[in-house]
Amino acid sequence: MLDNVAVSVRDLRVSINNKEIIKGISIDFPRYAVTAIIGPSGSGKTMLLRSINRLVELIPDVKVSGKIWVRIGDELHDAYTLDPSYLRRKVGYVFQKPNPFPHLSILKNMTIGPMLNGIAKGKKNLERLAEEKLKEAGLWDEVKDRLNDAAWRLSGGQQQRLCIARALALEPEIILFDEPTTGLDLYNTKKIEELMVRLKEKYTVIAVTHSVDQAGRIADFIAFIYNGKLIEFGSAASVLKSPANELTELFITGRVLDGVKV
Amino acid sequence: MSLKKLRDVVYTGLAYLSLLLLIIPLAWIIFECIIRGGYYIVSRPLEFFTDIGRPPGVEGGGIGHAIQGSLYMLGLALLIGVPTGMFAGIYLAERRNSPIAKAARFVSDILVEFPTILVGIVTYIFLASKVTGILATGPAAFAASLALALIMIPIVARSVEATFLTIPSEIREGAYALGFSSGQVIFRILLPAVKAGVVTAVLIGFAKIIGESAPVIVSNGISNFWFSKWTEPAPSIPVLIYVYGLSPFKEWQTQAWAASLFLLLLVMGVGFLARRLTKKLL
Ligand SMILES: Nc1ncnc2c1ncn2[C@@H]1O[C@H](COP(=O)(O)OP(=O)(O)OP(=O)(O)O)[C@@H](O)[C@H]1O
Ligand SMILES: [Mg+2]
Repeated sequence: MLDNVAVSVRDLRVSINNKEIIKGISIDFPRYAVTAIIGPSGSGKTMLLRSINRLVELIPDVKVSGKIWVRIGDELHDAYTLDPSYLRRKVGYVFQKPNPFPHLSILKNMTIGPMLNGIAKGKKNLERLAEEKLKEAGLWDEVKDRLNDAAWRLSGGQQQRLCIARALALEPEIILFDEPTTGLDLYNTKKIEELMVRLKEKYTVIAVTHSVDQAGRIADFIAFIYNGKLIEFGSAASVLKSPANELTELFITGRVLDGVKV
Repeated sequence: MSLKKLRDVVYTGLAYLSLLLLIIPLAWIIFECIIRGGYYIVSRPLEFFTDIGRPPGVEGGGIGHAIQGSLYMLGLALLIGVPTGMFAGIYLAERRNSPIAKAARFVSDILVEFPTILVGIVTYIFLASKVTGILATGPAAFAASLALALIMIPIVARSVEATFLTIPSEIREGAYALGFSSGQVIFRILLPAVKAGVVTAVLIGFAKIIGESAPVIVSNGISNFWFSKWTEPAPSIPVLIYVYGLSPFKEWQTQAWAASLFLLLLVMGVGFLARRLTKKLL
């Protein structure tokens, strides 16, 4: 069973300024699959995601307890005893808002990660890696003639795919997406959804999404988070067709009410 | 004419008027400097820029020694002030809530408001005075440099901090998410992203100290000879303007105007460069 687990979360609790935000979540994210995390705004989806790559530690006065095991190669490692730099290389993160480095070119956005992390050396190798990962992210054809343009000149959707390619360039094993298609047009949304599905061949994908429809389109598994707790977790088909919990049903049918306490 | 249009005209008129109120004094000062001192520079440029001052009442001489002294004094001040101010500013922005940052912010807010002459006096008393000084036994050029650095540091620090705080948090988080260490995030991503702002911050600090005379006089004293030692008084352009300008000697007064013109053009040049550089780097 554990062989198929990429990330194992055990009784995770996160509090900020002594206010508990994640209230004891345990979940096993399957390897080489897309798991969608759904739930209403403010339920703690982003916090759960950021606990996995320890980005939560950037928040002042944050406290994390419980355990998170992350599969790197054949072994599960305790995320919170690993070197955070190493962990974040192996667990890529794509943000809700595209965030390429605005002062760098498209190419430099791709090469700076591998360069500073010592993954590839020399202009030739770095550029080859950049090309390979841009192709993997389905952006190469659109940018190959303008690699030296500033990254902010790209459209929002292109910027987001650049950020995905940038994460891929670090050769991660797991990629976390936080509502990556928010505010993008249909074309780019479709491209990114297809990409997430394609990526599961080589990587484990965990994607937060606002949209139940999107979860239905991309996910093999769905986790429903509400008020800092995991309400339901299972295969996408079972969660969407026959939710076990009433709250899940309320949410996926678009009827969840703010203020409902669990 | 509608009311809206009338209001437009009035506001535009007021804007131009205030612009005029700004330009008139500036133009007037430049004009004054040119007619009272400009001819001296034009009539003997080489002597003005390379020669030393003459005793009162003697024809000729230049401000070469003051230029040299200012170069030394400002050079050391920049050497101390730029890195210190920059690192302090980065620290203030990136460790916003640490006790050290809070204390440093408090101190630099006081220092920014501090009369610069007091900075000079304090530096003098601690470092160079005959009785309590620890590095010299009298007015000294290095004390002035240190005073100028102290004046510059809080200004640079607070503007660098402000510049860093304009960086959207997604950029910072994005850099950490790629596995970069704090040092890499700050020096390889954030600093290059705001280098124009940092250059501007440094130039603002530089512009503040380039024309200072009071803190220099109280810590370095007055000299009308070439720069010789860091532990002795050195000449500088603002102090020369002050001394020559207040003297009763016609020759010195003329050179004070000429030196003022030079300093004015220098400061404007720094400002112009800052703007050009900012545009280019953006
Ligand atoms: N930096 C922070 N400091 C304090 N509280 C925070 C911080 N970030 C998030 N929170 C709180 O934590 C809770 C969970 O936030 P989180 O961002 O994980 O929600 P979410 O499920 O991702 O919501 P959304 O769908 O709107 O993105 C919210 O109540 C939020 O107010
Ligand atoms: Mg969120």
